[in-house]
Amino acid sequence: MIERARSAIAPLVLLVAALGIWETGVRIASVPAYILPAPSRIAMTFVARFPLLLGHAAVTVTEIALGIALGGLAGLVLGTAVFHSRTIERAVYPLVIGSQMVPVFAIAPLLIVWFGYGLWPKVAVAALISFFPVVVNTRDGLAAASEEMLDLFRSLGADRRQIFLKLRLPAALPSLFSGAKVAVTLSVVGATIGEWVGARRGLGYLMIQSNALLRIDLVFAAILMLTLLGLLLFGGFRIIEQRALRWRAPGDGKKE
Amino acid sequence: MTLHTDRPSGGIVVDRVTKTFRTGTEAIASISWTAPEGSWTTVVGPSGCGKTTLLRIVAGLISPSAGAVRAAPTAYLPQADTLLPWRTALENAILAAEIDRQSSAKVRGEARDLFARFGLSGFEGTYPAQLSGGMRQRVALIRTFLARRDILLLDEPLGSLDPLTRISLQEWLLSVWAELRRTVVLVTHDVEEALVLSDRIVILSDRPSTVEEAFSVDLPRPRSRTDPRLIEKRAAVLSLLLGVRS
Repeated sequence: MIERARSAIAPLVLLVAALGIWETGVRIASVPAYILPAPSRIAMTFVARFPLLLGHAAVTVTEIALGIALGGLAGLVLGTAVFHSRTIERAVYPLVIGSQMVPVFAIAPLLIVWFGYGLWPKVAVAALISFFPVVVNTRDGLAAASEEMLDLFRSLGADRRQIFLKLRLPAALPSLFSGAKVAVTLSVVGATIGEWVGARRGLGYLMIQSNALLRIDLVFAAILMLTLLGLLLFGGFRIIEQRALRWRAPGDGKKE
Repeated sequence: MTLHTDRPSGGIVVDRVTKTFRTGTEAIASISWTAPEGSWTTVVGPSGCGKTTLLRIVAGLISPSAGAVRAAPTAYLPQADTLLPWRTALENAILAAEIDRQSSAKVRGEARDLFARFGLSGFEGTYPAQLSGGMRQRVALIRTFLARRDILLLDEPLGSLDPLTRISLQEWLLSVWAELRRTVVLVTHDVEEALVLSDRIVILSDRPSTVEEAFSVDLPRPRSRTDPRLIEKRAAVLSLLLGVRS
């Protein structure tokens, strides 16, 4: 615990220092709030408009959650397929990598055309963007089991299913969690992009609207809300990861 | 305690086995040897001479290019640390039984007995990352024993341990073997280890390997490292190995 508290000090000091410079800079130069509001003002707006922010956040969180679920599931299935079949790997993998070169921004408006202004185009963008790291990490994770371990399983007469369930899958878990954490971060970006392009609700929508009305403090408040959401999701996955990979952490959980 | 002493062990016949890999590397020129039921054979030879390849052939993991191996089902302990890090020590020990779909409760009880007997009590629920090298190796050996195969193939099981742990594990191995009487094939670099443990020693030549010499160690157990006969044998084997190299 003490160690964790200590490791949090450095970034906190840096953050406070940056905010201090920002605050004094804005005050000394008397920058108008519609260009750059002071952190104190953003904080006040955040508190005052919290119910509004929360309402929009609920929409965005739904999009993110569905996006991760769909993108993650598709990624798991495709990653497993690519690992198991050379043919599928040759056919699909270059296309998957190529698809990542297409900017999501370019597709988002099309998705709006196809799916309308509702929830699904945003979910689609979040899923598309979070799908790739899951594919790559699933494939690499499944390949992580060492040749010696495979020898051991084969010499014990394990069938393919046992090798997959008892060796490959657990060996892939660390990699799968890495992929999931990247996917979470990206899907926050994906949902926001989706909302920018066309939406009636959500934090991305709120940002665009507030920006047009020169309510820059509200733009920042929405960004803050989005950041907190992202951190919360990331932290949630970290907790699940630490539970699932208990065996990896040296020092703690010595006995059960 | 009962350790299935009633089970008969199978012997091994290696008949003119050769192995050339697809890359063109000729690992084994021709090897023949036999191991009677319940005997302890140790294979020594220069590094990279194909000892592991030979063991994997006997384990049925790779097939020989020519020749044949006749052996009962084997339990193979690879050279690398092969405990599964996500399983506790006890869960690792019962892996083979689990793969064979045996009743878990019975094997768990048996594993607990073995843990108690070999100084691992209280570590059943510990993950490998928190065990010392000697403990990990003991767990891996218990796993190999619990596989209930007639033949145990051990690839340098003590190679990475410090000398003291090594000696105590050698004694431990010997006591388990004396009780179980399975056929053991051990690969090692350590000539002293070979002489202390084995009934027969097979010395392989450099790659592509052949049997340079095979002889019985006719000394009563337990053997003392300071026994002059053992020291004399050790010198003979070492000079033979040095000759093989040059």
